Amino acid sequence: MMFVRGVLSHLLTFVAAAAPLLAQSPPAMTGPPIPSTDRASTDKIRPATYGTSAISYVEIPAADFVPYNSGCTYTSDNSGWGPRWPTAGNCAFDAGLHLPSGAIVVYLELDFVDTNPSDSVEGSLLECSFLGQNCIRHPLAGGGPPDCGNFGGIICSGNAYDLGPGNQAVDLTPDAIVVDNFTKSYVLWTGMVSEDGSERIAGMIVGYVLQVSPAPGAPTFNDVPTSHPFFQYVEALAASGVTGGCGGGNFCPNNPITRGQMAVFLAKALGLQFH
Amino acid sequence: MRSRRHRIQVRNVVLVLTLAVATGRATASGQQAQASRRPNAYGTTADSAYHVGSSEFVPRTSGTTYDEAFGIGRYSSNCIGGCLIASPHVPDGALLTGITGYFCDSNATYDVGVFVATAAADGTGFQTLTEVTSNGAAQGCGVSSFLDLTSLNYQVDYGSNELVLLGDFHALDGTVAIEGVTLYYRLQVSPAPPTATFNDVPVTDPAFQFIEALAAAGITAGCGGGNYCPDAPVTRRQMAVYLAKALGLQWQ
Repeated sequence: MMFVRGVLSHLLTFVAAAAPLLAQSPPAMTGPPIPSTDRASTDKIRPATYGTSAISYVEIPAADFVPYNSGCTYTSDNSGWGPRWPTAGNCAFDAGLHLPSGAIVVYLELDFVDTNPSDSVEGSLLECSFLGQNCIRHPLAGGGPPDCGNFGGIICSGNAYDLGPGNQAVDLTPDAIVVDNFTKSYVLWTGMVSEDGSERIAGMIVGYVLQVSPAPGAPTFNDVPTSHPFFQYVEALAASGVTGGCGGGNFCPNNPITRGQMAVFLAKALGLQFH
Repeated sequence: MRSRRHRIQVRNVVLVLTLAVATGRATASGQQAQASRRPNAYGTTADSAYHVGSSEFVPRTSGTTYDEAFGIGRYSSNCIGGCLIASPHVPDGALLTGITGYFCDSNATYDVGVFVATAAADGTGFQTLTEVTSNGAAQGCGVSSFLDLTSLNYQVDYGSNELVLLGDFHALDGTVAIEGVTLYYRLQVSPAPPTATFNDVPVTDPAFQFIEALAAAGITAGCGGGNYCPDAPVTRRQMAVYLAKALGLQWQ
């Protein structure tokens, strides 16, 4: 399924001004329509963003997806995360994705509404060079659901998923996406063919696991050689500037630590700020 | 070195900007070569990278028209300067250390650039910090010169300013487009406050700045009696509390 990004020149209408209020909307709203579902109450918010075994999740709701060009007009409704759909202009939507360097992406989910018997909502995670010409689309063929071609995504053509609201998820672990913010950019892409609201993007969810950098080839400290059981972790702290060792080119790995030293470790590690 | 003058109109404030585009890319390639040794956005010496892709540059007003060709980048077709805007979510307090732009420029006469600017919290307008441009020489798609921003000595301060990126297009026909911008930054620990929180950690203590930072963040309340006990050893039990509080660890 292809999406053409033509050169059109319509005014962009922000969804805040254009979204129609549903009959059951809460009364006396003065701002933009408020999604009727409390996102904080869903089980998808798991802010475990530290440690190397917990999966962290980041949600990209429909509101974060913007059209490729201003020739696309779109709207949304008040249900769920404010599902968004194009009304004219042959749209595709995308959103920047920002994850910690070194993290492994393990999960990708597309939330959608699809009551169209002919077409499907599609979504992908694009892993690109900074110049964008060399994007790898995830899930890869064979790494997830069937590959649909050039801009296919999680959901391929056919009617199997044309069941109304729902979500489709894929385990991205086989793709082994290691986030590298120094050489790559990450974009979430979604598209749909119909412009009558029968297909809507509700959002996407990405899950990832943090990692500590692999051990380097040569040691920084005399007393923490490459064979030391904690070599990888001591080197990670040194490379980040969290520690400069205990003097004389050593780290003193077996020394006890004082509460004062602990404060220096943590404050430098986190770059603690206060106003 | 080249100098040019730009005018962008922002919220009825016209900023006249003089920019000097530095040459030399050694630093940029050096940044990327060491990326594998620069883990996450932690520590106060390692640079972190925050890439803002073309899709994150969105119109500042609904009258702005824009388009994007896949692999070519995003451009405006009716607005020269400051019309497409993006927010780089660099951590509060971080020091900006550099910027690299990725542009597609097939126009022999006109360049494309991105302003790095602050937006005042009181709505009084933008202040430009610097601009990275396609620098005239780049025909086709390529990477700009790396701009070292350490001399700006600018620390992000969301308490008073938002940090923004503004697209600067000198042609409206798609011959100049933005692919993205990478901002490099380095975390910082807040400066030491003028007065001490704990009786046994005076302002002259070598770890004063850091202990105050932990206290301000709620990671420690001291060891009782208004003291911190900086020379007492840390037990594994205490270590667990430090880390869990520092990171706000969550599980389900």
